[in-house]
Amino acid sequence: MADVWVEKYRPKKLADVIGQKIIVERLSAYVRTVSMPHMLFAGPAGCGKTTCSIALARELYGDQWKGNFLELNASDERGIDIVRGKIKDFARAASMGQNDFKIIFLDEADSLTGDAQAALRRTMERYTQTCRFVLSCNYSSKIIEPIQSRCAVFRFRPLSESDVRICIERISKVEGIEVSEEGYLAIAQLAGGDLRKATNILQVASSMGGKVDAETVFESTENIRPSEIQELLTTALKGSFMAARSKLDDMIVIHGLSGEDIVKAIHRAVLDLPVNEDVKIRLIDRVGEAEFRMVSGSSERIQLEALLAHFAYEGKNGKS
Amino acid sequence: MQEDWTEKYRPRSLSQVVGNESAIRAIRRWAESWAHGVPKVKALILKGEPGIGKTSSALALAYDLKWDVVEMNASDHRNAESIKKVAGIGSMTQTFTLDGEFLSSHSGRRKLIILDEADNLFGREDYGGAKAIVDTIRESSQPILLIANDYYELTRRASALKRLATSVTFRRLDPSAIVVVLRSIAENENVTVSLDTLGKIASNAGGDLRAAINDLQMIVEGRSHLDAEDTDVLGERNQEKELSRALGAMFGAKTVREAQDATLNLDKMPDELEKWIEESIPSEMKDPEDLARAFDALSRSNIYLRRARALQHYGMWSYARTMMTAGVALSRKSGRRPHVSEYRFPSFLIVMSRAKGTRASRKSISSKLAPYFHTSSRMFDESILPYLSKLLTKDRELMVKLGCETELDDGDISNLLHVDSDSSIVKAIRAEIIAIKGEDEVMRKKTPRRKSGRSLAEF
Ligand SMILES: Nc1ncnc2c1ncn2[C@@H]1O[C@H](COP(=O)(O)OP(=O)(O)OP(=O)(O)O)[C@@H](O)[C@H]1O
Ligand SMILES: [Mg+2]
Repeated sequence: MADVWVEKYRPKKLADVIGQKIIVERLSAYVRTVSMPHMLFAGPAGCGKTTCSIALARELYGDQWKGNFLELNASDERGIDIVRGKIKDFARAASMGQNDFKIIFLDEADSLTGDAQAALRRTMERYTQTCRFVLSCNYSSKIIEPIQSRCAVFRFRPLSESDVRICIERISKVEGIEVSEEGYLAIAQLAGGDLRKATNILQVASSMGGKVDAETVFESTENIRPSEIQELLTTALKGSFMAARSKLDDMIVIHGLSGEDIVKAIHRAVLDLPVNEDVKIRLIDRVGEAEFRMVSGSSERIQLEALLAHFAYEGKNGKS
Repeated sequence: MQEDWTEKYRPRSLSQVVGNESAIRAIRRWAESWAHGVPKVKALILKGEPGIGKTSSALALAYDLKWDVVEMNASDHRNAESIKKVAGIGSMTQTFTLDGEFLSSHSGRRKLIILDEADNLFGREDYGGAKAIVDTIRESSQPILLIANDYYELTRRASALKRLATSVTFRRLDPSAIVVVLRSIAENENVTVSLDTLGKIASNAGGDLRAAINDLQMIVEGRSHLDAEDTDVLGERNQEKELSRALGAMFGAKTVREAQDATLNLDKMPDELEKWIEESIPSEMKDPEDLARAFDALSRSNIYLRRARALQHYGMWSYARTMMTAGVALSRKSGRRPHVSEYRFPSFLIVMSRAKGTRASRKSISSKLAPYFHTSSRMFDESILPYLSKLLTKDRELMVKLGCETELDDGDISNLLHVDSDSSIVKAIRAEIIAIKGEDEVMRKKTPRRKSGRSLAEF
C-alpha cells in the first residue's frame, strides 16, 4: 500500500509526540483550558513543530479541526498581499462551533518577507477574540522583533538518538519490519535529530526487502558506509595513493556515488581519523575547496584525486 | 475561554500605562493643546522598541478624552488614495465647521487619527503613502499620532515629518516595573508565583512588557501555582546568554568535534554566528601569531559563506562552520587562555544600525543637493559633501543661501552642521531662510530671479 510514512505516522495526539516533553506538557494544558497565547515554534527541521501544531488543533477542535485551522506555508505564499488578504480575512471571520478562536498556522514563517511580517502585527493584536497565531521557523532571528514580542517562544531541540530509536521502533512494530542494532545506529547517525529524515530512511531501507541493517540503510540512501570511507582515507594517509584511488573508482563506478556524496562523507569521516586536530582542520578546508570546485563544474574525479593526494601528503608530514 | 492576556490587560487609560512617564506627559500636554482649536503641532510620532506601550498609549489617550479613533496600520493598504480616504473620514465632521473651537464645543468630539506602524510602508503596494501622510498632516485639523519602531526609516521616506511632527521616545521598561505588572496579573488570575520566577520572566524579556506578559501566560495557563522548574520551557528571548555559553565552550575546545558541537544548537544563521566569533577573537587570542591564525581561519569561513550564497549551494555552510569554530578555536598555540567573562554583541552590527540613520540622512541630503551641483548622488557623496559640510560649519551665510535655494529641511541642515535638529543654530538658520524666502517670493514676481552673493556653482 503506497503510504508515505512521514504522514501515516505523524502523531495525531500530543501525547504521542516524541521528545519535546515540556513543550507538549504546555500545549496539553492549553487544550484543557481552551486558551493560549500566540506562539512561535523555533527549531531545526523534523523535530515536531508542524506535528505539534496539528495535534494541538485536533485536540482543541476534534472533528472540526480542519475548519478551525488555517494552514499556510509561508514559503509558497510569502508576500504582503497574503497577509493583508487571506490571513486578515480568516482572522476577522467569526469562529464556528463551540470554540472561541481559530488557529492560523504559518509554517516556515521565516520565509515571509520582512514587509509581510510587519503587516501581520496589528492583525495579531486586533483579532485575538477570534484567532491565535502559531508561527514556525528554523531560525527565530529571521522573525522581526515586534512579531517575537507578540508570541510566546518555544524552542524545539533536535531529537536525541534514543528519541530517534523510539520513533523507528514504533513504526517498525506496526509495519512488521526487523531492524538490527547497527541499523538503528546508522539511521540515527544519518538523521541527526531529524525524525522526518529518520522515517524516510527507514521506509526506503525497508522497501529493499528483508531486514533493515547498516548495509541496507547506507545503500538505500546512497550513502557510503563510514567504514568504507575510513578505509579509503587511512589508505591514503598511509601514502598508498594508487590503492586509495582504486577504492575511489569503485565507489564512483560500481556504487554509482556522486562526487558530492563522497566529499560529504569524507567531511564527516575526517573527525575520526588518527591525525592531530590541526591536520583535521587543514584537511576539512581542503575538502571544502574540493566540493566548491566540483560544484563550480570541474571534474569530480580530478578533484577527489587531488584531495586523496593531500591526505597522503598530510599523512607523511602531519604525524606530529 | 480566556482572552489573550496582552489584550486583556492592555491599559484603558494613560494613567495605567507603566513607565515612560515623560513620554506620557508629552502626550498629555499635546492633547491639551487641542482644547482651544488647532495647535501648531498637529502630529506626534511615538517611537520606540516593540511591546512597551506605544499603541496602548495612543488608544488610551482616546479613551481618556473620549475622542473617536480612526486607525490605520500595516495590515491595511496604505497607498495615497486609501490614506486620504481614512484621513477624510477623520476630518469629516470638521468640514461642516470653520474652526476647531466651534467644532469642539458643538459636536464635542475630536477624531484621533492613528497611523500605527508608520515606518512600514511598502514600496509598490503602498505607493505614495509617505507623501500622503505628510499631506494629511498639513491639511488636517484633527490630531494625528504616528507610531513607529524605526524613526529613521519613517523620516527617510518622509523627511518633512521632522518639521511637521514632534517625536516622543518610548524606552524599554525596567525589569522591576515589569515584575510589578506581572504580579498584579498573576493575582488577578489567581495563581501564586514567586517573585523569583516573575523576576526570571521579566529579565528574560529584555524590557519588552508584552513579551513578558506572553511568557507569563504561556507558563501559567492551566496551573494554579508555579514551581521553579516550570520556567524551563521559557524560550530564551535574549539569546546573548546562551551565545556566551556556547562561545566560551567553543574557544575552550581541544578538538575539532568539540568546537563544532559547541555551537550546534544555537539559533543563529552561520553568517550571524561568524560576526559574533569575529567580535570575540581579539579578546580570546592575545598572542599575535594566534590572532593571525585565527583570522586566517575566519577568512576561510567567510569565503565558504560567500560561495554558498553565490552558488545557492548551502552544503558549503558546513565547511564555513568548521573553519569559524574549530579553525578559529584551535589557532591558540601559545597555551594560556585569557579569562573572558562576557562576549559582546558584535560592534559591527551596532555600528551598522547607527549608520543606518546616518546613511538615511545622507541620502536625504544628496538627493536634494546633487541636482543643485549638477552631479550624481554618488559623486556628491564622495567628492562634494565632505568639503561642503566643513565649509558650512564656518560659513553661516552660505548655509542660509543653500537653504533658500534648495529643499533642505531642518534634519538635513542639522546633519550638515553636525548639530541636533532642535538646536538653536538650526532654528536661527531656519528663521533667516524664511525671512529671505518670503522676500524672494515677492521679488520673483517683479523681476526675473536675481543671483545674489557668492555663486554656489563656483564651489
Ligand atoms: N507601558 C505599558 N504599560 C502597560 N502595559 C503595557 C505597556 N507596554 C506594553 N504593555 C502590554 O503589552 C501590550 C502591547 O503593548 P503596545 O501595543 O502598546 O506595544 P507597542 O509599543 O505598540 O509595540 P509595537 O511596536 O510592537 O507595536 C499591551 O496590550 C499591554 O498588555
Ligand atoms: Mg503597536
